[in-house]
Amino acid sequence: MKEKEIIERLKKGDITAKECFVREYQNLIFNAIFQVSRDRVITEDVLQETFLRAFKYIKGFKGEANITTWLYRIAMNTLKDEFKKRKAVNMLDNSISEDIPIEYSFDEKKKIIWEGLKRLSENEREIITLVDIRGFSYEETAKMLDVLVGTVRSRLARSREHLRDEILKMDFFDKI
Amino acid sequence: MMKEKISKYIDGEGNKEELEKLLKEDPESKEYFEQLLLMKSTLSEMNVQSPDVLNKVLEKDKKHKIVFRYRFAFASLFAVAIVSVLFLTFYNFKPQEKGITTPQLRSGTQNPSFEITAVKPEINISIGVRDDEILLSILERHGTITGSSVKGNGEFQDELQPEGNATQKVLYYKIVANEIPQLVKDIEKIKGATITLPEALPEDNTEVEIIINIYEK
Repeated sequence: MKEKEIIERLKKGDITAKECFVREYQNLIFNAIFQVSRDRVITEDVLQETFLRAFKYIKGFKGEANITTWLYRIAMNTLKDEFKKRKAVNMLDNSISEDIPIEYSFDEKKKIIWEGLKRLSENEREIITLVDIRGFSYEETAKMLDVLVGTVRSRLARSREHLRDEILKMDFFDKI
Repeated sequence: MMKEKISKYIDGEGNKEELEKLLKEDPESKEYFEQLLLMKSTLSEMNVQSPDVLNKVLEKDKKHKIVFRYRFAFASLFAVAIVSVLFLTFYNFKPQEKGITTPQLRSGTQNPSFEITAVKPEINISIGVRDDEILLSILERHGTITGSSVKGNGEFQDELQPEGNATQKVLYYKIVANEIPQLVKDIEKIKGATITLPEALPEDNTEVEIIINIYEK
């Protein structure tokens, strides 16, 4: 099923379209959320809520933005809501908790990067996730973050430099 | 600035010739470029496989719909209940002033019960008395009607012999405009009325204005 058809059928509440939609975007959105939240449980909850919100608001989707951009924005707003909710009940601060386990499937290099990413701000992690992990272009990233392309370029350069400095401290480049 | 250019360059943006020259001439820049390249390459492999949330999402979606339906039904019932309470409170149970018109009264099969009182009713409505039958029924409680006629142009004349030995009275009365025609109700729905006559019945040939307060059933 093509993207346009999926969207049209989603607007009618079609179950098959919902299945296609979730299967198509769950991996992308999961990673986007995961790199910012760094917590599998939160990520999974937010991922589910993102799709539920998408089903709810799809009728308002006019196609001005890319569906990925639209969904990504819902995901990030949902994540922010989740952080607020958890912060309100003192379960989790907006920052990353220290005892979150490192992703089990990572090798040593990736573990260092993971640790390095942990030391970045949410904004820095977000932009690196979009461009370097998910492979979005500057233009797509700018739309998702609702900023100018120039902002993406400069923010990305600073974030990369910061990450490079962090992993340099952990001898990342010596291990190659 | 140099670092931003290198960052752009590894994404295939920027001036290629300028960057190549820089990397050739500046070892520090070259090292930075290689480090970023390696970092980017590792980052691109850091995608994590998402768990399949399809069933959970569809299940929750279904529950949401059910909850929404229940909420909607509850909200509808609640709204209906509120409207009903308001309606009954302000429209049905509370005595309301109602105007009546001749055709409705004349076509009615059930005469309302009337009381004549000199006490000022709670709400006074001045309306024209078009219906001589009703007025006669009122007057009969004060005495015996010995003569009655419609004079036309909304004017009526009745002769009343009050109870006891009081002198017979001839009453003239005329139509006065109905002040609240929008509140006119079917006579079937009229429970009763309080009609206020002047403190003392007027002398002969005197026009009478009567106050009628009507209550809905």
